[in-house]
Amino acid sequence: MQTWNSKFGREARTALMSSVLVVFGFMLACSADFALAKGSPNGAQAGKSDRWIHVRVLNKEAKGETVRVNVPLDLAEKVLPTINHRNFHNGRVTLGGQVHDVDLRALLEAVRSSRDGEFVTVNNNQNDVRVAKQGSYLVVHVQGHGDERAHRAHRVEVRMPLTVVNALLSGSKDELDLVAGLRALSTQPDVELVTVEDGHNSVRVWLDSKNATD
Amino acid sequence: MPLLAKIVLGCVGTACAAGVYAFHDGVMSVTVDENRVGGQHVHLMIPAAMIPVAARFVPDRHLRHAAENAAPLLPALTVASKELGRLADAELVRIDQANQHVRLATEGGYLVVDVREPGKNVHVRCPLTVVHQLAGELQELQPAN
Repeated sequence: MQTWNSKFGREARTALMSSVLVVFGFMLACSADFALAKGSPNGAQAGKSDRWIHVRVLNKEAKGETVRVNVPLDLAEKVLPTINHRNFHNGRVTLGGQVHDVDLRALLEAVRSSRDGEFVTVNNNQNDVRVAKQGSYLVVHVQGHGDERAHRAHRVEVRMPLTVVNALLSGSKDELDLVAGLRALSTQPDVELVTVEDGHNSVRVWLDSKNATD
Repeated sequence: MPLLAKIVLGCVGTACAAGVYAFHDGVMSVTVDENRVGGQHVHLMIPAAMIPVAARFVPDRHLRHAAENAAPLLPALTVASKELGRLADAELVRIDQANQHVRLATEGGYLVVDVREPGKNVHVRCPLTVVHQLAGELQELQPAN
């Protein structure tokens, strides 16, 4: 009886220890795998300062909504070439001639090759428009006149680094290379790209290294 | 008796191993709470490793139909899910309006979607690896051009 018990005890202990070792080893392997899977993104973020483009839209009405979008440039640069829709293919927009009677590419070419200073000023009853090349930036300023409640009074400020303009024009004649533009933008310092204000809404687009809006 | 002990231990060991394997990729959770009388309360927790396996049991025609519907988005979704996994946690989209709130964010390798509105809260949390894997599999079902 004692022999049987000791034999059973020995076998049970062996089986138990084997099972525990197998399970423990498996758990260790899985936890290492899990830690690796979780660790890799953190490792990637630690060694690289990602550039983020932020969009914030504020509606100033009583129940107005706020929209905040934060997109890493790296992500946009990789996702854009996968989108094919209408005149947008492989991260490039085909202009197909003129946009609202304006030859956009010719306009950007003219800006790029011009000297510093104000070179387009339009003043009329509705808007004051000023386009200038200031240092390494293309600056567009639009000031609308009129009743704020009728959304006519508005202010638009665009500040675009010229290296980005150059990159946009780096493709063939009738297209804008948005991916190249984003790549160029990712090398730029923090910059306020677009500001739009009217009586009811405020839109802001800017570039920085933070992964959240203020 | 020793044989029974071995069988039990083997079963327990296998169950533990299967449990660890099932949860090692994380858990997808879906929560829907309707705060009204007779409102629905859905709380689902699905081991992420089970989702691609479960997808293999979905009839082929349904998968192809889903792949066709999502076709324009799949390449972008595949790339985005991979890239988001490499980036720091972030709030990608946030929309606030009076009592309504929508939030899309990444948290610790998970894609998190939160929708809160009066009387209804929806919370979805899915590992980015699963999104990537499913998008890739659906993309493979696309007819070659």
